[in-house]
Amino acid sequence: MVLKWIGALLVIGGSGALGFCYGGQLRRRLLQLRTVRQILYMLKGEIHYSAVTLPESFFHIAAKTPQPFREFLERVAGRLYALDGECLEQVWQQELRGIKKKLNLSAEEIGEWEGLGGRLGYLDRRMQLQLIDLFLTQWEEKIRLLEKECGKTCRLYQYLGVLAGLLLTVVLL
Amino acid sequence: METGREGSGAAIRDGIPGREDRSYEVIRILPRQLRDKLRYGIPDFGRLQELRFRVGEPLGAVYEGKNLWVTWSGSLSCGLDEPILVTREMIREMLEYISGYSLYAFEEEIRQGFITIPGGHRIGLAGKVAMEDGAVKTIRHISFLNIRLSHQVFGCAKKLLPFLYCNGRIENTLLISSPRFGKTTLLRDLIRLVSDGNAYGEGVNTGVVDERGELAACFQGIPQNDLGRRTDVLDGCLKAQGITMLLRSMAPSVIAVDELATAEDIRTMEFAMNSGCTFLATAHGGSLEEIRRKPLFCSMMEAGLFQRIGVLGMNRIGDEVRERKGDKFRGGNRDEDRNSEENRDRDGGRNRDENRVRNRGILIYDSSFQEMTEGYVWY
Repeated sequence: MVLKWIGALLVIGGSGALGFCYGGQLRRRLLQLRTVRQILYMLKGEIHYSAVTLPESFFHIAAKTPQPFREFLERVAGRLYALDGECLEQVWQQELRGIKKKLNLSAEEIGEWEGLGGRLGYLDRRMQLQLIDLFLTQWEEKIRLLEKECGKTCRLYQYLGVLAGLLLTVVLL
Repeated sequence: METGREGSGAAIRDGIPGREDRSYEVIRILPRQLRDKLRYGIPDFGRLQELRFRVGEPLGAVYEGKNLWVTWSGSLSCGLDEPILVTREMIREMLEYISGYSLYAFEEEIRQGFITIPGGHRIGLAGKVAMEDGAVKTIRHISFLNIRLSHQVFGCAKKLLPFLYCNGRIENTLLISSPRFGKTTLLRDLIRLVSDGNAYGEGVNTGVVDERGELAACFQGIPQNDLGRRTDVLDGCLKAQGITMLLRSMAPSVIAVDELATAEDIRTMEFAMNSGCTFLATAHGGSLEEIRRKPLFCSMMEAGLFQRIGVLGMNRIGDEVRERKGDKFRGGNRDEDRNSEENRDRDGGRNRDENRVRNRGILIYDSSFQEMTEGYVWY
């Protein structure tokens, strides 16, 4: 009998943890979306006020950005400084692939972030800033929607996890 | 405002070497397919003056004053055997490297028609110019690049120092010559010697207003040329404004400017001289008489603002070397030219720039236009 109760607790605990884990992922996704927004704001500032080059901007921004974006920006900047004959788009995509496992963003969001690399650098400053503004608007919208849903969805995942555990326990018992 | 310092050509950031390795800076902005060819093909990068890229045309080079073509083997040739044809893709690739993948950050430089890269090398740009309100807005479809390699000549102003100092203090000095006679090179070395100190005077705080970026060749605000330990550089600033800014903020004892060109430059300079600053300056002109006749300079010259006026009188680099007879120029002497060439070859070409400049002469006058040097000083 004791073993049955221990088993039931483990099942409920496990599925509850799974629910919390999904909720946490959602929160981390929101956090990463905000980080991307912060990077875009900083990049805009670097281009607008300092007019420094992209590698230089990436180094500056990396110093104020949490992982895994710090690693990403530092690696991109390092490779661009090396002038090894690779284009920015290529370097950006390759380095993004390197941190993909550490990202909680959706495939669509990663695709958009990947696309930014191909559009940076070429245009004049005004166009460059407009491009970043466009990206910012899109990310702001994503963040707004996710913030609205995040609390509810997180709780839902947690309840679902615990309830699913209870259901499984009842069925098994 | 940046402070020039010895060795400041040293790394701007990891991976960017300093002024001691200047060919590296040129190689790394070339298209990838040409890098090794030029690195190993060009006999001595120190003697290379220019690389010229024109879309659809062979890659040109100016090597020791001679116009040559670069071949696919990387060697330099007078004829068009296997020339490297420049493509639009090569120019695009180079622009990415030159601008650090950020053309937007060089809008002002593109408007002016050149970008300075680490090492002090200057990249001239040409293409389709877009105008707005009568001024150049930008250059689109850049199809022509001219890489002008920077060569600083250390010590070329040393021989002038005894004439320019009085009681341990440098006098207001104006250097006059026609274009490409080397007055900027001379001024650059003079700034370094004045800033660091020399046998005739202690080092003093020196301010440089480098309007066209030719003296310091700053990259990201850091001088790529050695202008001395006590030199502050205002890069890309108009002379008149720069002089006032330096006066207010950096308290320089000496201010150096290249190519005085406007009445405002001269007015501001006069104001600064009255504030106790000494000036080192250059101006375009074929002779002292020509400068004295120019409306812009005549009142300044007659007022004796400059206690020392140096008139450079040597032929440009690559032209025939003139001999010295009776301390005056007397046209070309082929035998002596040959000897001079042999001497340079014996040098192994190591100090070729320096040797070339040693064949130049300068006459120095005082403020009453009396010749102080009794003939040309060779440096």
